[in-house]
Amino acid sequence: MATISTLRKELDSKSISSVELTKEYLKKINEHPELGAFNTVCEEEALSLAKLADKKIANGESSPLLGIPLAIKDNICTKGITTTCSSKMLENYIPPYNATVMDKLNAQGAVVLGKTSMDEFAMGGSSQTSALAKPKNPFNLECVPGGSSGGSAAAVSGGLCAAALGSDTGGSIRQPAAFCGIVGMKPTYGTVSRFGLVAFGSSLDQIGPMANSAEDCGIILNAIAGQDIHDRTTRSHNINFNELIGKPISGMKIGIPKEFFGDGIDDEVKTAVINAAKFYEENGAELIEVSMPTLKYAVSAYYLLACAEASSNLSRYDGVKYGLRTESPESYDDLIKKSRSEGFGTEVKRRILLGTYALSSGYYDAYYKKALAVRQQCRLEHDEIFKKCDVMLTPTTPTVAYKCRDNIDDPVKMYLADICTVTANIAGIPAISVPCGIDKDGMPIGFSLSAKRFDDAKLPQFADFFEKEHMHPVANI
Amino acid sequence: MIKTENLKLLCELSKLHLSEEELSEYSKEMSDIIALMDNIGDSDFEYNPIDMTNAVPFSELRADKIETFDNMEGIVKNGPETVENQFVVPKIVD
Repeated sequence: MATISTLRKELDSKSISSVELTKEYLKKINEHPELGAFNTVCEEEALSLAKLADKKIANGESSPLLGIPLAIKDNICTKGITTTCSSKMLENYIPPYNATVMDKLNAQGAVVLGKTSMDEFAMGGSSQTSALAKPKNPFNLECVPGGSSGGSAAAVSGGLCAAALGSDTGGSIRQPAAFCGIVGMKPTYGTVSRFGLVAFGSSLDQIGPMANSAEDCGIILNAIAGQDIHDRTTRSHNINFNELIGKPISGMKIGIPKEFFGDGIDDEVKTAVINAAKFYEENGAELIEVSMPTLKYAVSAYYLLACAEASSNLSRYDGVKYGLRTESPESYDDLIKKSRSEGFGTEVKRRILLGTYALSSGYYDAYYKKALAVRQQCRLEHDEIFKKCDVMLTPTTPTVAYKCRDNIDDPVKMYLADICTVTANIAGIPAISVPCGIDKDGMPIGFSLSAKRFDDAKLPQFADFFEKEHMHPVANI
Repeated sequence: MIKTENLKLLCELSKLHLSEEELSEYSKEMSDIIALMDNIGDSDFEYNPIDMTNAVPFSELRADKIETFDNMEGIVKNGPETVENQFVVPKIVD
């Protein structure tokens, strides 16, 4: 698969134009409707952005993403282009403004190919809760691409775009990246603005890249990161996400938390991830066993916090100012209830109910406050771990991608599958998923690296070091 | 098992309407989900509201000044029912 850095060279040397490149991707998108990767394809807008990019290149201008065709998860607001969150509720919503990340991509001259499908309101790990396109895994169309950024993962893995943006609340970038054999990175909470990202769990949500290489992830993060006056949780920082690429890893320490390699992890996944750890050891890094006792409470804490925040965030969908409105309501209250009941799908309703339960009188202390305590402890445990090591290495997922119907009717099974990813969101640390092989059926396996808050640049460094010696699996489409 | 009556109250608080059939289905699912969440009760950590490690890292406040949004038309276009730049809702007061 072509990386952004390769395409950059081709564009700058004029061996290909942005219009030609964009047409190539649009053709491939049209040839592969079975992937269900996109809710909206912006053919006309993309070609006009590509023409503009070609003019700039001809004038000698260059920036890392100038003329590069990208796909955007459909929960990131794009002015004048529908942003549906794969929900009936927002099926016709056209944002009157851009998310900050979109303004930053536009400033670089990136080409937006379209909006990718996802789990409804980013709630799920399969992308099959989408009320619109239901994306499939390019390695096996009977399998899920993961979620919630499943459309972005399928688009990158299927070669329908150079790279994509996703969002990650509990693993929604990293898990689909692992399922589809690509790289996905969630940066430290506060590095990338959430302004214009449709809110799910505001204290956990982060936008991040999904790409064909770790270096590409760094290129995109360098473009979209930075403090934003519209998002008070963004921090001032000067991270150059790719500044450590190529630097030796010899002598650096990798933490291996034993709790992540227990019975719930598939044997083939475990073997591939341990082999990745051994590769680093053979190249001079030191492996250190570390412990994260809070892991056994992580899924509960994550779902209680995320759903509590979602129940509040999604209260804005009342059928008044935007979104679906029921026909012929009998009263104002009826308008709100019926609009919400018709607009939201099953999983979204489940999570609103769980969040309301956790925040309701009589249960607040037992659930929400306990979850806050676990979060506090989890952050402390991470702080201790990163005093001993540079990065931590774990599986990204307990299994490879499963069949589309397998978990959809069993929410508990679906929630438990998030065990390997949620701690990074709870602790606010950066984490990256990197492909490390395939299972006996040819489905990709990924491992994760995480680091302390704002130590993001170590992740492309370690990931790139691994990629130099290990080819990513390639989907046969 | 979450009782139907309790689920109805949750629906009221969440402004959701579930049919009788949905109530019975959700009642079973929510019970399973809450059983999963119950393991958090086994943890013996106490929440410390003073410890800022739990806080979202807010940066400094921005100036509280009014800025004019330049795309009012775009906002109104998304309204399900509008009249003269105002959103119409069913009559609230008789």
